[in-house]
Amino acid sequence: MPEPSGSLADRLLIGVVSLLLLLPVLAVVVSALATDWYSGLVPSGLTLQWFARVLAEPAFQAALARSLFVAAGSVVLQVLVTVPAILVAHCYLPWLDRWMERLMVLPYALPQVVLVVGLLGLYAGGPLPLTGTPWILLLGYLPLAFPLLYLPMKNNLRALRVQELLDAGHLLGAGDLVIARRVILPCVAPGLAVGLSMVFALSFAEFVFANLLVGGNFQTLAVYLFGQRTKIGQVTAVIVVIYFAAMWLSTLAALSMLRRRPI
Amino acid sequence: MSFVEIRGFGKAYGATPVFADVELDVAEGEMCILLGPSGCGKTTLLRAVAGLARPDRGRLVIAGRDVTAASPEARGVAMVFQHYALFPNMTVRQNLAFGLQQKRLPRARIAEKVDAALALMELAPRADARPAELSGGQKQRVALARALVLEPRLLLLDEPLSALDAQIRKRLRDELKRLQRETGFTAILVTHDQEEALVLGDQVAVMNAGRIVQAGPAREVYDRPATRFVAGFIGDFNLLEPDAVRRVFGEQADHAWAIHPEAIDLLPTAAEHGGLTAEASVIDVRIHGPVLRYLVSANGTELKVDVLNRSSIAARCPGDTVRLRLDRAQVREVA
Repeated sequence: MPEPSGSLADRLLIGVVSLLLLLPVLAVVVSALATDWYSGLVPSGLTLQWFARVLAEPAFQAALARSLFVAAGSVVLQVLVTVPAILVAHCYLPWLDRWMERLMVLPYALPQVVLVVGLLGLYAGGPLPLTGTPWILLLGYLPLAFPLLYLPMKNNLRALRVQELLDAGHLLGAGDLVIARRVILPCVAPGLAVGLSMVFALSFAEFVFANLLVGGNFQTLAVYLFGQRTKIGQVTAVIVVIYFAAMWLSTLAALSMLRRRPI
Repeated sequence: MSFVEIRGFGKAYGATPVFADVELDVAEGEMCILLGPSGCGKTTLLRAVAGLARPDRGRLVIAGRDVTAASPEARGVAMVFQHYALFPNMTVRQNLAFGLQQKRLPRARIAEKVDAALALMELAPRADARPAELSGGQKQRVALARALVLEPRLLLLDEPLSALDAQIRKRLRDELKRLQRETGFTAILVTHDQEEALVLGDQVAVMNAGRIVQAGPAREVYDRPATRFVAGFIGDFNLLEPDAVRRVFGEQADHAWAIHPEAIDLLPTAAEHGGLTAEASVIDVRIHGPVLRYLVSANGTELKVDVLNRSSIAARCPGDTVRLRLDRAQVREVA
């Protein structure tokens, strides 16, 4: 964009885009607070009764608890499995790292239904019969969430000279684990925070896997919301607002982690 | 017996040798320079001494102990890396304390040693800064302090100054020399910079293609290059093949002559003189600060001549005819 007229045009463009992005959110929030919004540009009145009603609903509470469990469990599983895998591949196994980079988009390139069928086949019998349990969800989200951690963590790792840090650490008498814990992990904390907050958001809100893999056995918030879609509009709006709030809080948590570790 | 003895060190990656038949002795309190062009194997040799690379053959003794198979931390060596390798998430103080913590020293003892190292390197005002907030020179001083605080038997430096700009490099070079004088550490330093090697080195070992081609006191390596390669790499010699020697000075030579640019005098054509002489014309003159570097042509052969840049000596201009004079004793014959 040319520089002289750019400033005003840029601001206008950003304004329009922001408006387009914010408008639906705003509409949902207003709808969640509306007494009635069937005619006219504005609702006829505002009320918190829908919030009270949804929050008091035992089915909603259970679904919210399940989604929080899945999201938190997913974060824990990623920290235990994916984070060490990314670190090990980056530091010792460059060939594996290259394959990770190539294969990472696969879960997004395939239709989700295909993935579901694959996961159902994988966990139907064999050593890990998990179909119908929430655990299949956690394992299913593992590859789905992988790029969310891989990309930001690799950004941080590439800026480090990991091999030199390992060499320096070894000469100072530290083993690899000590160096990983005291140097490398703190250095990738910003990427880790961003990644984990996205993992949380993904696992909290994901629908297709949740519906097809466990569905009625373990109704998550997304599946519950789907069940409510034909009922009162305000109720679905309230659930969506609660979604937004959860995402917002997890993003804030990640940002505050970033600020705590200025590197 | 030397403080550091390297015997028959060799390493190859597949069929490609990195270094071979390396023999090197470093006396206690000596700074030994490994000098060579990039890719000559000097850094890998240093890493093998540190224990970060494994030699295929050979033996390494440090302070009377065979450490050939010892792990890096068990060798009593410390290393300074070209790109500092400081821990970016730690402050200067924490970086210095890290190695001492791994040795499980008491907290008070660590603080004491770290403070002493900070004072030695004049880093106390920056003790709580993180590496990203430091200049290149400061970072390398921190890296040096982090190595010295462990009181290593042997300090290894891998091109420690090459990532710095010229002025900082010179200052840090002098500081390194001062530190060595004050603390008396034994060190092996890798560089490709011949000036750095001559200034810092008690001993200079010149490497080429994985082999040490000449090792000795800096003075000796500069004055008496053993091979054509050393002459070309150190001291910017004029290298004259036997037929060029005949053309320029009218002398018979069996081998090529290596002549330091400062060994040639530039005289007026009419001057009285002894020694070898030749007529030449000035092609170019450049000011290198205290030295004037002339490029002259004598009978079709180009020669470099260095003259002290004194205002009392009128500088000659391109096109001037001059007389070159050379003491035969200044000539080194190289095979």
